[in-house]
Amino acid sequence: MKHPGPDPAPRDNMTEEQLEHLLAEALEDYHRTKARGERPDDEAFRSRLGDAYGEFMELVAAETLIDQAIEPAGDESHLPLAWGAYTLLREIARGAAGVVYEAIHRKLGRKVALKVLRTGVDTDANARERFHREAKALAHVKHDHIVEIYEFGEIDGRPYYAMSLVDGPSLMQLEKSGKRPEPRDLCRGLAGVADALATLHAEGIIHRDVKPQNIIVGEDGRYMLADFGLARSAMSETMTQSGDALGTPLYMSPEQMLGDRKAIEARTDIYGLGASMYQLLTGVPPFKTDNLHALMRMILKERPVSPRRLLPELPKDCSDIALQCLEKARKDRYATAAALRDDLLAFAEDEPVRADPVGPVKRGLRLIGAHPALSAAAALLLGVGMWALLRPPSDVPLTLKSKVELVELEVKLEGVDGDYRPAADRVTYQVRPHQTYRAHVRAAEPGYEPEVETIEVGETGQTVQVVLIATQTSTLARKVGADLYREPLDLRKRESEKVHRGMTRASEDPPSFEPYLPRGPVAATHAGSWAVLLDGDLAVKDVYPKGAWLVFYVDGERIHAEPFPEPDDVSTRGRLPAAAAARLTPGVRCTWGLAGAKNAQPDERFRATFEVASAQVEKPLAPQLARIEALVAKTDADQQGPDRSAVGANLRAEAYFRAGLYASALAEIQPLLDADLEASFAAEDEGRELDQSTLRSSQYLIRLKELSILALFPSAKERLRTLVWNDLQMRDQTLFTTEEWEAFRLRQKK
Amino acid sequence: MDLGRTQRLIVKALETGEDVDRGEMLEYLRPRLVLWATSRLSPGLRAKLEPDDVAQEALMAVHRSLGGFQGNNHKAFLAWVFKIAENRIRDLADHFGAQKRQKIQPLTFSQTPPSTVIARTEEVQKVAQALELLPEDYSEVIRLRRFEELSVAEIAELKGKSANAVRILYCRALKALKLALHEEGGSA
Repeated sequence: MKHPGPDPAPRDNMTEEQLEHLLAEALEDYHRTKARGERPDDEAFRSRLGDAYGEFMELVAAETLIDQAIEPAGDESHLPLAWGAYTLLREIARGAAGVVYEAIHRKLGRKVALKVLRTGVDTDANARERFHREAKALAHVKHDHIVEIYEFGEIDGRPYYAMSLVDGPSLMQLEKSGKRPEPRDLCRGLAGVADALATLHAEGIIHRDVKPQNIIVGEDGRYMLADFGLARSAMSETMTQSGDALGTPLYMSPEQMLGDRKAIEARTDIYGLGASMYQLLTGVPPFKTDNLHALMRMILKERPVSPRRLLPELPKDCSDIALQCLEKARKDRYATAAALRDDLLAFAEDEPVRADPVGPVKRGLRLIGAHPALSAAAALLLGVGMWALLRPPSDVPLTLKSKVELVELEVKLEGVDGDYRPAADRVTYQVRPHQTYRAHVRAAEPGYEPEVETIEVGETGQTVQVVLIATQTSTLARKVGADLYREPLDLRKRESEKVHRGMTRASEDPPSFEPYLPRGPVAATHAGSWAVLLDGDLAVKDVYPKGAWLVFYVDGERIHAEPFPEPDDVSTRGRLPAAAAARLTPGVRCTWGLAGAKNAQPDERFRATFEVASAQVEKPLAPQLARIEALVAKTDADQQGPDRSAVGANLRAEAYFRAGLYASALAEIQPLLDADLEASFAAEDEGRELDQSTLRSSQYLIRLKELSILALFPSAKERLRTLVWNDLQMRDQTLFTTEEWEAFRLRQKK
Repeated sequence: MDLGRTQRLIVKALETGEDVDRGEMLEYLRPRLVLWATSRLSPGLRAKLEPDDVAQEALMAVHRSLGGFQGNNHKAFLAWVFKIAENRIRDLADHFGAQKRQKIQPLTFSQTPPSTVIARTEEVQKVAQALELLPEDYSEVIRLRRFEELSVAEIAELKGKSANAVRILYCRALKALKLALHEEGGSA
């Protein structure tokens, strides 16, 4: 906003009455403007009121105070109206990390947008420093399409920065009011924003929250990028306001969805710009659903509907630009904001664009790239089959290569095979080059169906892998499966209820965990609590008072006591000392409980006696472990994909989970998880794409990330367990035959 | 004025006929009703009634009869709410009148269990105290303009004044309120 010194209207020759009239009318106009959803033009008011402008602002401030009282803005305590050199006039926006106020600098009489960092419990430790750093960096950036930063600093210990208040609606307001710009105009406008992003990126600043609400259309029609430094912890906001449209991250990129801070870079902003463009073109965001979790899945896995399907008259080039920005994998988006700007301008000028988003054919071939969850290790976990569709660049044979199979598969290449044929290790076809084929895959035995039935096999210069997942669906299996898993599924429900209701409530009304006992050698049960011995580990879940101690008795003798490691956790796992573990021989009756202090007696409510179970960990899993070994041995180590140790570990982890042996499962998977996380961080640090095929715990990795976003569960262990319960239904009989399950379950019941 | 979050929800609910969280809606109305009652109660009634209690009564009445509300916009909704609130004040006034005549021991609202009376927020408290310092006509014009959200023209018609007079009255009232706020809270 410009700040020319307005000519103050002469006041001396005005009577008090005239002044009152002037003020009253101005105030009325002020309201009329606001009622129309526009921002009042302060310059106009200033020149109209001259010296009386200050008085006018006092009136507006009084109204603001009343409005604040009748419409509390939220959880944040209100800042005082006068704040440092500024007077806060109203709240413009509220993000997770900060609040934006319309404010006036009292001495300069300059109206600004003032961003104030929140300093609540949810502010992470580095937020303040980042905020400062960003403000400082922004203050250096001068760009026609970026709102100007005037100053930054701290008042009352709260960091803030002041920037120009741009008069005009946001693209969102424009869209909502039905004044959607024509595609070419939109692209020309957005090109300015893309250019602004390029400048920011060159300064090392990532905006992180490019969305239609943050692009303001100035009086001169210029698109201005606004709202910096608020989006940092948008994720936590999302979580606390799930379902609330304000907090719904409709324009968030997949990498932001995953909460992968290190993956957030320039191309994250390109996604945001693409999402904004999509909204402005079509009137809807790329993905929309009321359910946050569903939205997350869509953003991570689904392709947006092509804008051209919503608007058939939209030129393909324009649609392609948006889709290119919205690619899941960052490498598939525009490499730089400058490239995006050039394409936007090219389209605006009717020149050819370079956008080439992944189409349906390529999409089929890219299943793996776009879906880390479906990479090789996942296929092994799912255990049915993994396929490689190999197609040499210019050669004619097309080879379908089956990599792992617990169930025989059959394949049919449309237009080549008359009927399904057994898919041996390798099936080679003679096909015409540069042609797309459709391959159908199914299980050889009944009771299974592939998740992906049809694959488009198109031309490609490289070897591609397509993973197929088959799930058992025979009636019998369904029945057995439902029966088997009803309990664990209920457990999830109960757990999340409990998490939401809080511990106090749970202890008033202890839920019975009886049906949810793990399928391992049960060590203890009690209403609202369970414990299980796992390879000498002790896992305890309970309604847990702060600072509690876990105490064990055998024959009235205290054999062990240890504190809960994390006071806010609801579960823990500790290793019994050898001496204590030695006392817990099968058949012995042990009392365990939670006590308020190390030497105190356990609370009656949290005390239970149990007979130490006799089952050994390895025993019930012997056939599974043997099968896994055989499977691993069979896996061709020369193939792309996980190495043998990872294959075995993933399968064993799965088997342990299914047997309820969480500690063992976690022990199997943890090193892989750690290594994968390490690898992904390293890749980010070095600025290269993570080679998904090198991930070894992929299935768990991606689910862990998703679940950590949901943040419903206090520890990775809990999440991991829950996600496995989640998937169990789909994966029946992968490692356990129905008979084995039945036998297993009977043993548990005894 | 800009719509707050809850207000947006209500407006949306009114427009689309969707369900709105009643608890949230009632709590949204509460500070407005408390301030409204502060301004609305005559000194006589004010001695007997707490604005909080009037607001609570009105909110309960709103809650009871919400199903009967026919309008589809925020303005109509507010008008309806304040009509209910007016009726509640009248009932309460009648109640006290009758009490005087019949000398029946009344159930006073100060006996409302504390848990049902939500403590006023600091802002509400401040503004309420300032409102109580204002002359009746100032307090009234603020009530009509800010709490009931009537337009200047509507107020003018209601009070039989010119729109200009209302505008100026409102400005003076705001100025007075700002002063009163300063008196009350020191630096505002």
